[in-house]
Amino acid sequence: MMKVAHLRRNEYLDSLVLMNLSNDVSSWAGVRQAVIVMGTDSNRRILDQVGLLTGEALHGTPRDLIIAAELESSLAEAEFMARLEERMKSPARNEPEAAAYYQLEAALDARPEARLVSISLPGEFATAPARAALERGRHVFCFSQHVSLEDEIALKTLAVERGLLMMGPDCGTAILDGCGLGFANQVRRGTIGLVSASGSGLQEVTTLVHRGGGGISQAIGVGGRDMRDPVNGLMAEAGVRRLNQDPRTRVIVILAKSASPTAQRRVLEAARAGGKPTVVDFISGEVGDLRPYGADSEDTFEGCASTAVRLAGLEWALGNEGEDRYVTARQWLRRLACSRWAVRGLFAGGSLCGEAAHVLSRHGLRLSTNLEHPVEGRPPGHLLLDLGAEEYTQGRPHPFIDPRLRTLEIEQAFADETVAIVLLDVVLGWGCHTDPAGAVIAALQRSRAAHGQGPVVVASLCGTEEDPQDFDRQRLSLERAGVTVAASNAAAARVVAELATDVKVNNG
Amino acid sequence: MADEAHSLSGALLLGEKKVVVNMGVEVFEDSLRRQGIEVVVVRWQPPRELPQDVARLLDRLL
Repeated sequence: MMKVAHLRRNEYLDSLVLMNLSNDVSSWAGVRQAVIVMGTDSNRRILDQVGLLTGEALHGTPRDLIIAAELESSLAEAEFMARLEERMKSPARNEPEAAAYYQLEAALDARPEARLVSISLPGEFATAPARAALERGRHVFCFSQHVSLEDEIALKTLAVERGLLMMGPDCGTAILDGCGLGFANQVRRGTIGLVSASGSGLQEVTTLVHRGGGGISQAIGVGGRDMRDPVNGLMAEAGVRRLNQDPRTRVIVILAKSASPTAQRRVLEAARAGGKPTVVDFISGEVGDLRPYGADSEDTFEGCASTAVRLAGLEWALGNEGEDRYVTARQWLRRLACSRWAVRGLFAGGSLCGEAAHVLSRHGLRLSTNLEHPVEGRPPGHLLLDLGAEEYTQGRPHPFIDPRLRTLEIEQAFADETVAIVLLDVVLGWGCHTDPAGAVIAALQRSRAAHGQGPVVVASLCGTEEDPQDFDRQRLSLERAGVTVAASNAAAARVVAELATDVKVNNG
Repeated sequence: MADEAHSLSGALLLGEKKVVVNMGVEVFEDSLRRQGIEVVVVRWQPPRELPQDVARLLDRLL
């Protein structure tokens, strides 16, 4: 057995390409494990955990590509590196190389008809191209995290001056003119417009609107920090004003986590000026007095979607599933060992985690979460984790794409003999994993093989029948694997709250 | 009126031709193409780190 560590200075590949490469190389004969990553701090920690932070890898920086592997004696290092070279040269791109530019400015000059630039570079490199795009009169969709607050405010101020949208940084999704950017779902076009500082909230509301019979005019993401102090709704206000002017939009929905009072006032005043019916969900935050603004306030995404559909003059077509659907979960629960009583939420969507925490708290459950601060280890009791939080994603693909982190967490939850109920969100859509239900099922099968039947599993499925992953097939395969699938994330949390009460009763 | 016609045709933000420039994660390029959007790709590599004295000299010259 031999450890290999190589560093390639100033070489960049995106985290998804690297994930696929690592998976592929790890499956080669003679390779015990292989991790190929950018040298960020969090990636070097992962390398350390798996015993591969050795040799040149010790000196990697976020600009460098680290190739680390553990080889069997049957595979020589030189042979491994030669094969890897070949694999990295193989064309992964479909488009003719002539269509690619190396300078953003050149691309924008050559293609004046391109009105929007989508940026998903590592955060420290995202500001310069965003500014260049705005200066050349283009809207920006910026998926990148880890951009400084000063840069965010400067970019958004520039965008407002130029009458443009600066969606992000840290903007997970948007649907513009029917086109999904980032992690977006395929939804019907219609008359409901969104402005959202919550990516998974935007996905949940747009998919529930679709499944409930309505449609989306525009869904403008603004990034997770936009409605907090000190950005204070700079872009959300601009987004609402856009929707005010958009004749297709008849109802406006505004979503934000922990919105500051200034931001709330700002967006509500903009909405009142437009005179269109407005629904807000300031998820898990203090909500000011909405009466002067005439806006409806909801505290779940499903409540937002159903109110918006009704305000659009349509009938809400999504019924609540009957209680009988949860009978299996209840029976399962009764057979659990008495030591199992706690809820473990393992979320890929941050706002879905926030919403579930809100619903469970309202039902009297005391929870730990990483929504405001990272958690140390695994605190005892009910625990909800947002696995897309910054502490998990630096230099790694988001859990919507990469299920490996949640797979490990599911196995840990099964191994923890206090966990009675596992709560999951399964998110479909453009950019997401091709079979997220399959990834959950594989993790459950492995966990059950190792630990027996284990906890009850409840999930929500965020998506539509038009998404590339096929909503119905995903739901069926989860149900066949014994997962209770609720109609929405809030409904899943309500089911879990009831089951948690049952556990308490059962355990006396 | 022109604005109204523009947005009703479904091209309020992306422009009539629906062309998007993508810098970064390749999976987003594929998603856009599969939705019928033309994607202009900008390939990106991290800027090379210069030795400090060279960087200082360049800053002074530029």
